[in-house]
This record gives sequence, structure tokens and C-alpha cells, in this order.
Amino acid sequence: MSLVPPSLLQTLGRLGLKSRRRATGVREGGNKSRRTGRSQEFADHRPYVPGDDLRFLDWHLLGRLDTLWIKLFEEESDRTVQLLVDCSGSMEGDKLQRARELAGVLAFVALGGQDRVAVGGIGEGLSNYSPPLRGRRNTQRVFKTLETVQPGGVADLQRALQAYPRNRGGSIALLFTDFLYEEGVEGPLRRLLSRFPEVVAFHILSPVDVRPDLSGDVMLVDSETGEELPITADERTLDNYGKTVRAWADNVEATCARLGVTYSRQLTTTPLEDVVLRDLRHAGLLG
Amino acid sequence: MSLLSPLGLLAGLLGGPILAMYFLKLRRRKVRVPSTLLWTMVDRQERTASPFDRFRRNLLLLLQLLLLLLLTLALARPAFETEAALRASVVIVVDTSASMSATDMNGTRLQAAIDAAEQVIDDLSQEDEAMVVVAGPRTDVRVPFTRDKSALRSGLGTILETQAEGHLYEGLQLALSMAQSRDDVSVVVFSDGGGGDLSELSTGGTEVRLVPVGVSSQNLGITAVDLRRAPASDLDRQLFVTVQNFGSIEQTASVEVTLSGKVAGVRSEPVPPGEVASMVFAVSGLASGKIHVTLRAEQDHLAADNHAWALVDAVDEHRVALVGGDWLTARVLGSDPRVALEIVPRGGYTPDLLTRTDAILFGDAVPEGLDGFDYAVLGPLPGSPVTFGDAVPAPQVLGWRRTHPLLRFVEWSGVRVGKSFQVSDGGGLVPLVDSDGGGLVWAGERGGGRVVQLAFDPMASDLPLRVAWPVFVLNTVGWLTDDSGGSGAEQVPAGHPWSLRLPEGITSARVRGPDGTDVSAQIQDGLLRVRDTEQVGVYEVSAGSVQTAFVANLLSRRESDIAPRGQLQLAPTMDAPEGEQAGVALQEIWRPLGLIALLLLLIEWAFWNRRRFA
Repeated sequence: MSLVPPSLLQTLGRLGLKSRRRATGVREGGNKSRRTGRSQEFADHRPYVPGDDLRFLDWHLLGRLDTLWIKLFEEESDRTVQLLVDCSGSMEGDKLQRARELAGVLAFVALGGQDRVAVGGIGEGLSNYSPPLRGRRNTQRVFKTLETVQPGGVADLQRALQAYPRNRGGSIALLFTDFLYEEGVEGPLRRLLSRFPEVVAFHILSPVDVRPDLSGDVMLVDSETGEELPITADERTLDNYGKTVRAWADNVEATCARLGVTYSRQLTTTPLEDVVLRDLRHAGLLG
Repeated sequence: MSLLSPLGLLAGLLGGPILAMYFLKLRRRKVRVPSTLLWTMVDRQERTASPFDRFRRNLLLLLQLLLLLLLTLALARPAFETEAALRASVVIVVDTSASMSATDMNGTRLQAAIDAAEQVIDDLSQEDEAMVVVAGPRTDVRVPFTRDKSALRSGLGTILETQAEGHLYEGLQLALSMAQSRDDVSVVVFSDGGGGDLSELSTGGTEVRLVPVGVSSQNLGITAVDLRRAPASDLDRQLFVTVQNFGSIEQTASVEVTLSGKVAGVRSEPVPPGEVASMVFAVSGLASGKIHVTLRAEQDHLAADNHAWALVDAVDEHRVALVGGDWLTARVLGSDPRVALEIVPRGGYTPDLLTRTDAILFGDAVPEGLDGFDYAVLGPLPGSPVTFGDAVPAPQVLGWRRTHPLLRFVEWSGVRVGKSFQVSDGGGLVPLVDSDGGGLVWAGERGGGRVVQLAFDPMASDLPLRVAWPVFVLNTVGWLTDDSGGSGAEQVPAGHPWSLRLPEGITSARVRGPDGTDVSAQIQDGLLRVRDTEQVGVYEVSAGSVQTAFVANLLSRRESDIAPRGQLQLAPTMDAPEGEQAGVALQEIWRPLGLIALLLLLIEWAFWNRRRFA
């Protein structure tokens, strides 16, 4: 379990993965479903119709009101947590590592909550896909899958989603990416939303993205495309770049909010424990 | 500034390739970044400086262009015209005559000359050599040929003002002779040009240039001081002071004379430009001490000629013997306080009179053995030093030598003489008063002594009845005893040596100068010589039992005439060759340019390394 420190995993054992949406899985799981079922948690009443199971008839209401009401209970349904890790060339380095760690943490939590966890690398296509697994016993498999994700190429979300297997039941997509997409942010997010009812985006930023250590006349080489861009890295230029990055990140966040995508900005320099125990809980993703 | 190799400027064309290399961006460091997507969002104008902006920001390029500029300039060999001489070797001649102490500049002329000479030394290149010659009352090589600028400056620092007449001719002569030992030598003279006539000086083709100092000619100076016996009385003396205005405006000369610190007389007299004012001051014959003459004028830039000194002694007492003389002569002699008269009756002469008297007047037979002694024979008496011939009755005076000290203020016209004798053999004496019967008064030297002989008996004439007689008698005593009346025999021109014969056995002497300091003096073969008399004033001499003094005065029209000359009046052969810019040298500056370029190269190297390894 080298991907996530054991001490952190011990802490995670008491946490569960929260969702803003009801689970829609077809198998019973640990998550509340939109459908009423046979769990122990009361949900509502409805008038009796012939054919209903008489075991759910509310005898107390019948005695007091002399009408037939059927008790409805919350059905605890399982869900599939789709861990979509951006492994394009721009994620190389600390960003991809932070993505693996976060995905590992959330996978561990999800597996403990009776969710199914699937892993897919989003690069020029789908890579390192791991079908949904259930139970903590599969934690190692998920971790290994995450560790095998290697950076390279240009992120093509559309192509990856086309290759992504469709699962039954509800899914929550956890996207770990730097959002450095040539086509912008909104298109890929909409495609994700069309595929997954709930999307949580972890926007991972490296210090290299925010304030690169450059000076003088340099030729920037794009790690994804190999394109070159000449710049003169002086204080003024770097200041302008910093402002541009902040505006762009704010725009990504605003787009996510507008589309109903949960957004969490992560800097690779923040300790993983702080991210998990403070930021994710504060954001309502863990609880 | 001029360029000795203008073609060197072509090196500046290298600036083109340097700029082109920057335009072509030959070197741009490649940096791999996750994505250039965000950089493309930055305004292009903001993320990439324009080529010209890069020039502006690129210190390395600026350093390289500056380096190229310096190297180009150095290759073009820029040179400045300087005051220095044209040649590789320079003889610096500094005039230290009295006129150089004039204060018409910011300080004295000498200081201005030294400053200018230091500038010439500063302008010398490393290979140039120079020497310093001082041309003043004495000429000396202060610093021989050297390339050591500090030694040259030190030599200049030892040059002092003098109050004596300078000899620029000798200084130049020495400089030119020293210049013969080198090729390409030029002589630079720092002077006011008042060094006298140089037209006879031959330079042998060596370039001589004057760096003139001085701006004003306003000066009044004492040009003569003379102390003489008063014509009316041998008991009194007169001080003659001559003042000349050498400036261009009329000024009032105020002259004050003090005797031993007490004011003896004051005169004020306007003196037109170029004119002379003579003043006479009476000085008591009984007084003794130092006479100090001070001249004051409103515009006077030279102080050395405003003072003059004279030494005056009380009139010496003369021991005079009158042997067999008449009572009238005895009364005349007795009335002179200078005379200690011993009256010897006729036949009372003894040889020891010669040792205890300064002069003897005979009215009696003259004994033998008087050669070498001073005496007068008042008549054609036996033993006279001349040989008499026939008698001449009632000779008529035809004329007399009025300028002779014996006959000063003595009127001989109309003197009646009863009888005189012709002189057949003067015995070395010459007649001073001529008559139709021959000389009446004879005088001259015999065997080192002075002798006066009358060819007539004064008592047989009306001369004793005239005022001329006591004057003649006292003139005779004065001449015989060589009384100059304190007329300044102990006076030397400043800068000239003074000497004194000392008694035997004296081997050391102390001479104290006008400023109270000791002055060097040498004694050789009993002769005391004082050479350092370049300061005007009174020098007190103490050598054994000898206590005396002498004065040094400037009294030089040449030095008092401080009008600066723009050029030296040299012989025509000394003129600079036609077309040559005399007195202007070209000082190349490619060496400092090269040094600065080297420094810039080091800075550029350090800057490049800093960027490379940052």
C-alpha cells in the first residue's frame, strides 16, 4: 500500500464517500437509493393498491384512521465510483502522482462503503481500465491499476469516454485532471455529465503551472504536443502569466458550478493528509 | 581630439553582426513545460519582448556593444592636444627670479609655474622622460632625466621663491646643454619672460617653448639706494632713494626711511608710468645702525623690490697729526669731531707717529721713510715727495678737477697765491689744480699710501681766508683716511656672493640671514664667502672677534619690471619650424580605453557565467 500511507488509510476507515445524488444502483449497497426498498430506514407512506405486499401495510394507521397505507422504506443501493485519471502529457510529474494518491484515497473509501470502483486513465484514449470492483479486498488491485497509469499524449476525453464501458446502475465520476484541454473545459464536462449523473472534478495544479521558474529569453516546449512558444520571462511577463492562470482557474471553477460539477482545486504542494482530512471533508466529499 | 588611425573606426562595423545575432535569436533556452496552453492565453505583446525591448533589457548586449565601441575607439588611436611638449624628452625650466614672486595671479607666479609644470609632468606618457632645471639667481639641475613622475613632482616641490635677480640665460643654456644628451628633446620654460636678453642664445635646433605666467605689470620698485656724505657737511650724510613706476598707471610712491627702527623720513610722490622719482633723506653723521627703506604703492604686485637696506656707521674718528702746522689749520682740524688731532711742533716728528695716526699733515720738513703712509705736505717743504723747480710768482689758477674728493666743494677761482714752485718730478703724483705756473695741488699714491702735496705755501696766499680752506683741509683728511662716508660698501645685490677677509686663525663663522635663520658660509684661505644671499635684508656676520653685517638688496630694474612677456626673444634659429604647432603635444588615450575594454570584458564574462549557471 505504497500509494497511500497506511496511517492515512487507518483514518479513512471511518469515513465514507458522500454524494449529492441518490444512488441508482441495481444491487443493494451502502448508499441511499432514490428507489424505496427494504432497508430499515422509513421513507414515506402511500395508499394501498391491490397487489401490495401486506407485510408493509401500516397497521397502526389502519387502526386509527381505518384506511390502508403502505409503508415505504429507503432502499440502500450500491453505485459505481468511476475514477477517471487524466494521464495526458501535461499531468506528468507531481500532478499525476497527486491524482493517483487522491484516487487511491477515494477508492479506498468507496470500497469500504460497498461501492464499486472502476479506474480509467484518460489520455489520448482510454487506458489502464479496471472494471468495477467491490469490497476492500480489491483495494490493492485498484491501487496497482492506478500506479500503472503513465503520462503521455494529448488528453482526448471524448475518445476515452467512447471507449469507456457502460455500467449498470448509478455512477459517480471522479475526474482528476489539470483541465489543460485544447478544446476548453465546458465541452469535456458536458460529455462527462451526459455519461455520468454526478461528476466531481479535482483540478490539480502544480507550482509549475502557477509560477514557473523561468528567466530570460526561453523557448517553451509543450510536453503534450511538442509545440514551441518563445517567451521573455521577466518579472512583468511572469506577473501577467500568474494573473492569467488565476483567471483561467476561476473560470474553470465557475464553469463547473454552472454545469453542476463539484469542483475541488488541489495544489500538489499541499500535504495529502491535509487534502483528505481537511479539504475533502470540508467540501462534503468525505464524511 | 583627433584620430591618428581613422581606419580603426571600421572595426565598429562589427556592431552589425552582433546586432544581427541578437535579431536572429540564435540562442534561446528550451524549457519543457506541462503545456503552453496557458502561455498562449497571455497577450503576445506581454509575453515576448520586442527585439528592441530585448536590446534594452539585455545587459550582455549592451556590454558587448560598449566593448566594441571602446575597442573601435582604441584602434582609431584618439589623441588630445595637450600643453605638454611634442618630444619624448622634456626639459622643464622653472624661472625662480624675484619677479616670479609677484602676486598678480592666484598665488605667486612661481606657484602658477610649478602647477603648470606639474600638469606637463602629468601629461607625460610612461615612456617620456623629463628633467627639472631651476633658473634663478643660481642655476641647478633639480631633477635629472627620469621617467619617475613622483621624483619630478618632488623636485618641483623643493623649488623656493627668491628675491634676487635671476639668470634665465644661464638656466636655458644649462637646459640646452643637457638636452644635447637626448634625441627629440624639447625645452619648456615656465617664466614671466623677464629674464633679460636671450637673443644670443643658440639652441642648436632644440625646440624651446615658453609657458608664460603673470598677468599684470603694475609695480613700483626701489631701483637704487645710495648713502653719501652730505655735500654741505662732512658731518652729515644723505640717503638717495630712486623709485621707478613699471606699471601702466600713475601711482603715488610713499617711501619711509627708518634708522634702527626710528623713522628718519617719509616722502610721497606721484610717479607717472615708466618714470623715476628720486628722493633724498638726510641722515645724521653721528648716527649708526640699519637703514630700512620701505616703498608703498596702491597697486604693487612685487614685494621684494619694496624694501632696501643700508648700513651706516658713525663717522670714524681719524687720528691726525699736524706737524709744524699753522694755528688756522689746527683750528680747522680741531673743529671736526671726526678728527683726533695731535699737534706736533716743528722738529718734533718721531717715527712712532706713523703707527698711532691715520694721517699726518706736514707744515714742516718731511722726514724720509713715509712711503706707504698717508700724509699731506702743506707747502713746498723740504723732503717733499715731488721735486720742485723754479718758483713762479703769483700764479693764476686756470682750472681744477672738481670731481676729485680733495676738491669737492672747493672753489679755486680767484685764489691768489703769492708764489708757487714748478714741479719737475711729480713722483707719481698728478696735479689737481692747474695754474699758469704749473700744478698747485698734487695728489696720488706712493707705495700704497696716499699723498697730497701743495706747490705753494698756503699762508702766502689768501686761501686760508676763504671758506675753501677748511673744506680743502677736511677733504684732505677724508681722502687720506679713505672715509667713504658710509656709502654702502657693505651692500651686495641679492643673490651675489659676499666675502670678507678674516684675521688669521678664524676658521668658523656664523651668518644670520634676514629671516633670522643661519645661512651657510665658507671660509677658505682666510676668506669668508656667503653665497646664499637670495633674500633681501640684513645679514649679520659673526666670525671670532669680527662682528659685522652686510645687506642684500634687489635694486634690479629687470626684476622690478614684472610685465609678463608672451614669448622669449630668442635667436631666429630657435623658432619652431614652419607649420609645426609649437607647444602642443598629442596625448594618446588608447591605453586607458583598452584597459576599460578589458574591464568590461571581465564584467561581461562574469555576467555571462552568472546567467549560464543561474
